[in-house]
Amino acid sequence: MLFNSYEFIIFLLIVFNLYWFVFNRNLKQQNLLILLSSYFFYGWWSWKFLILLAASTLLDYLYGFGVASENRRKSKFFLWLSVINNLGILGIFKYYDFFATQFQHGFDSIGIHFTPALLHIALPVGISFYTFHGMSYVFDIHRGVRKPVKSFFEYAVFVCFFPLLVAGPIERANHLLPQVQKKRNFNYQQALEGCRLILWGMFKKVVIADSLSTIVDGIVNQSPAHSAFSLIMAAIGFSFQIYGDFSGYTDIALGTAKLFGFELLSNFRFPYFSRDIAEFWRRWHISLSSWFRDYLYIPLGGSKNGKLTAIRNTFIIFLVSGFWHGANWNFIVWGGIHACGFLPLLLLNRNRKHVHEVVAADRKLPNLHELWQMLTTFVFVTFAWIFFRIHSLSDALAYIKRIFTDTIANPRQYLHVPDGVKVFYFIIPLIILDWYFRRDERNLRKLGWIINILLGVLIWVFFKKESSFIYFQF
Amino acid sequence: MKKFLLKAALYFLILTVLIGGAIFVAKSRSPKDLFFISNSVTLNLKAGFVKRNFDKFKNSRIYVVGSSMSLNNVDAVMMQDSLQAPTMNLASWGLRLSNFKDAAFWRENKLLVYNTQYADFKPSDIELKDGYRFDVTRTAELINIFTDFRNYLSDQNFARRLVYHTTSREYDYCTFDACGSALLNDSGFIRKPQRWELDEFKNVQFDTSMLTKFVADIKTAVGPQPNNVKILLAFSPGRRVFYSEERSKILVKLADMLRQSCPNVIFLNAYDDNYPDELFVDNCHMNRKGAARFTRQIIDTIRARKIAY
Repeated sequence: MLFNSYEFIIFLLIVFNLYWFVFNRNLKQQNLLILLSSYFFYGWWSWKFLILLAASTLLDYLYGFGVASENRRKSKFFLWLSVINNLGILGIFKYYDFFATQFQHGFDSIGIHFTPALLHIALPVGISFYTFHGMSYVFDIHRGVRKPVKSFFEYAVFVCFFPLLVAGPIERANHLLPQVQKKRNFNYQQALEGCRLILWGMFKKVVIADSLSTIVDGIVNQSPAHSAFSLIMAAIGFSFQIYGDFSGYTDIALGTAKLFGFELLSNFRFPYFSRDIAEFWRRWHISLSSWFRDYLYIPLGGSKNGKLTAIRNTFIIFLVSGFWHGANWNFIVWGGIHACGFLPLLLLNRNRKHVHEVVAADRKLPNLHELWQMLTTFVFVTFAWIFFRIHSLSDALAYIKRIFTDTIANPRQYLHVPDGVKVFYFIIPLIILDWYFRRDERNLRKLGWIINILLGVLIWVFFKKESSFIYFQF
Repeated sequence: MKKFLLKAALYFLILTVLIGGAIFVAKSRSPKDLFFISNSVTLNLKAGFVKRNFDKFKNSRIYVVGSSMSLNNVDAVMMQDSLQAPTMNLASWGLRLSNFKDAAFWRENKLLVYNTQYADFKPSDIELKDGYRFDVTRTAELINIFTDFRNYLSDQNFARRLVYHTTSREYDYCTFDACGSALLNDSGFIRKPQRWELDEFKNVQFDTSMLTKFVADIKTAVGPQPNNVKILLAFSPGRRVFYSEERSKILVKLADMLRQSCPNVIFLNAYDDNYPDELFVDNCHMNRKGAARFTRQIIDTIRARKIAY
């Protein structure tokens, strides 16, 4: 079931009413309702994969007790069992065909020919997200940060809570589980904020991202027929398409969770106002980058054991993060490009320069230096997105090559309006509104009735059936 | 909670009033023939035409179905007059027989005439909102408009252009005659060289898998229907310059496949017939004169084969 569908509106209305009017006196019943609703929500795509979801949930729940054991060896054994189990699920469903094909190509190149059996299994929706939920729970128990939860239902709600089940944010047990275990009372302000977030998220997805998608797809799918200027427009368009799509999804997820009395982790904080790549990664898909930081970068030694270790670890997390997105070389290259962008900051000790304050926090507009920093970061990020958008490395390289060769061959094209200039119709309002909200996301309440109604009408006008979210494929 | 529910209800009420108003205004400006049932303007216009002539639609004994190959190349009025049987042309641009599989007319003992050409071998991009049923209600149409308002607006603009600004001397001509055909003018037609010179066989990048799919699609449409429905599948000729033995042999194979898979389909292969260039407006669409000659062939076949209707 997609957030941007009529089915979801009906589903949400039913679950909301049951939750607050029928089961509101009993926490266990509320949790059970959430669990059943989440399974229904997930089963709407494929009921067969519910078995996988349930099995993965049950195993991590059981491993949690083993990992909590006083016996260190036993604890480690169960920790590794959980890692193998979760990565095994990912390996089979997401990466097996990729590795099998790579092995085949490798052996082909040395003259040994064989045809591996490929699984051709459709990737279960949200598999990368719920396996990471499970792993974070087990890791936290191992680190002594939390104790295993006794109730299976509570744990299952943590893993499967429907707003975050298919595309995050990737929650932490310490943040979400206490909310699952606590009696929840209806909070007017929280619910209202939830509705505003849902509306804003739908606007970003339906009006901005889906409209950009039509323009971008038209150019990228026929890239050899378009001018360099148009290809640049499409690349810029995609940067905002994926932002509108994913942050829109996250806003709807956060808003929906608020309607049920939950606060989820923030996933985006105006990433395109970042002044360098390090800041970008503190503002883009925050729940994933912090997951990798806490469970991979720091256990590997982080930046404590000298520069070389820090460089190695930086490359590892960026490459793994790229690979997490999909079993394809283009995602690995995308991660590698970001690692390369991060490297100079790391070497110059400037990677923690912009940790807290958003740009121009005390002013209405940025100064020229900040503007330049934001622009260069955006250009870098947009360049990397080309590899993310185009799933074949050779096609992505051909796309970039065409930008340069066509610019050299026909520099006068930049004096004319290119195809795809319409991307700015959708980008400019988003930038203006994001800039307005950048100090505090809760400023959404300042939008007022007229703007909220206008957003509602625009969502209705631009609504398109069967428009999935980009991150569902991961 | 009460305050929240009141606020939410008020919000949705205002939104409903605005949306309802927008639909009302858009609907009042719509060409009267447009009935929003698909993403195809001509199909929507045809649906409107059928709605206006619903009695004739219900009483027709012969339906001409298919794409522009049937819309432009088959003269339904001539067929009605010659066979003395109420006839309606339900074809529209890009439509295929498989699009008709949910149509109400399968339930009755009718004769379907379906004309095709190599251009029809490429997949159709028509999306029907509610199955291909001409008996959809106004409420169903309003739901379609509500769920796809933006496309409805663009559909309207296109329909306005087709209805009010094109003539039978243009390819976009889509004004239906009494029986639903849109016959193109045989004098002073504004030919486009790129359409005149286009080799559809090459354009669709024909391969034999398309043939299999074509037959499978027909079988899907025909298969679940009662056997007393008869289908005359015609393959109209194209410009002679694109004729070849190889392409002709493909149709012999098609005839064999149809005989095996779809016994209630009668195949009229007119591809080998030599139609002079003056009967065409492009590589495969005919003008009024061409349509008359080709329709005569269909009528003769129905009579010769003693196909009941």
